[in-house]
Amino acid sequence: MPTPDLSALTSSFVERGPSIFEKNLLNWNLRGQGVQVRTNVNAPQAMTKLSAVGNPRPYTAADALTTGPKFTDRVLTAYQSKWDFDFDAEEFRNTYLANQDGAPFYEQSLNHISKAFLDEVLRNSLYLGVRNASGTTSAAIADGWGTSIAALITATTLSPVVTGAITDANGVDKFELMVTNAPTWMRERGFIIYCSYAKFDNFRKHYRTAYNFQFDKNAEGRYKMDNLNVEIRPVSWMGTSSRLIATLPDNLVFGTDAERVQVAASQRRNIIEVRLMMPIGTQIQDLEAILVNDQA
Amino acid sequence: MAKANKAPKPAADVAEAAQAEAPKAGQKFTVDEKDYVYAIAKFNVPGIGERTSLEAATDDTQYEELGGKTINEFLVSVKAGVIEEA
Repeated sequence: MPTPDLSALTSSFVERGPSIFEKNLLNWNLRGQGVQVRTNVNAPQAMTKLSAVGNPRPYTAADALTTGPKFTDRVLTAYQSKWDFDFDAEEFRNTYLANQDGAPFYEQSLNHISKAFLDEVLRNSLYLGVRNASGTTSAAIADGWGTSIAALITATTLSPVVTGAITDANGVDKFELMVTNAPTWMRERGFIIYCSYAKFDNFRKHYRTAYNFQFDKNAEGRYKMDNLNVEIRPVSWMGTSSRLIATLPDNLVFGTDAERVQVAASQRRNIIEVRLMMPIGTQIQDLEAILVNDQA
Repeated sequence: MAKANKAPKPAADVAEAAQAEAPKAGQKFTVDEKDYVYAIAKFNVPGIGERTSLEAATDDTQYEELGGKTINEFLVSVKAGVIEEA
């Protein structure tokens, strides 16, 4: 079936679209946030972790065998997702398409839907997603990091640090509590504390009250905690969560498969049927390099 | 390229399987005549270290690190997410 030629469909939508529709869209900048992004997850991928069980000890003639090398891989699986929609140019004929000035409306529409797709994934899937193949929401595409963390806490694989409720009156203390409970090797290497903007607000308001000046970014534009090799990273994908996630850069992993990120389109009479597809999966690579608090 | 493994179980299944062998939550305790229950089986009390809910529920020690409070009193005072009102 030939690709519908909508090149003649141009409109002020192309010009106005970004300001009207994109103002609420969030930037898709996961790598910049310290998240490891894998774009080749066309099958479940084992994220190899090799550790050593046992330890050196003073010499004795008797054997004292230990396990030695131990693999504790975690597996990243990307699940295909989709967004189907119809595009009927007649719906826009007397509005956005009224002014035709040469820009392809079809391309612009897809561009917009693609951004909205990523925005949905960012806000609803990456953190709070709960995998349900029969689901109808973006949260059902895959388990998010928050869901995995909650499951690991329930399974007693992760022991949350009891910070208690984080408020404007204790924000700095609670974030510092996460630091003091982190293993020394993490403190030496430096790590990120991911939080929602709500918890970041608690931190900066308490900081301002306690020290009478604002918490500011450093010369590199990062929110580094005072005298600590720790960066606070407020992220929109945590929504209004009260969770603090202290971890190394690249330990939270997002997986997709670039070859299966597709747009399929076909024409039914004058209606264009479009399907956007993108595999999505999340995982935590190394559970020894993550520390969370007790607030969900 | 990393070797592909079989598809993992959903997080909820993993949690359920692990919980069968793990310390259980659900211990009850009372602070200031109010009843609470542990919602999480294991957690890290700042300055004290890891505790199971069973250990914490039966520990009457008043810790200096917790301002002279027991673990139960501390958890209630900070509105900890590891407990719920019974």
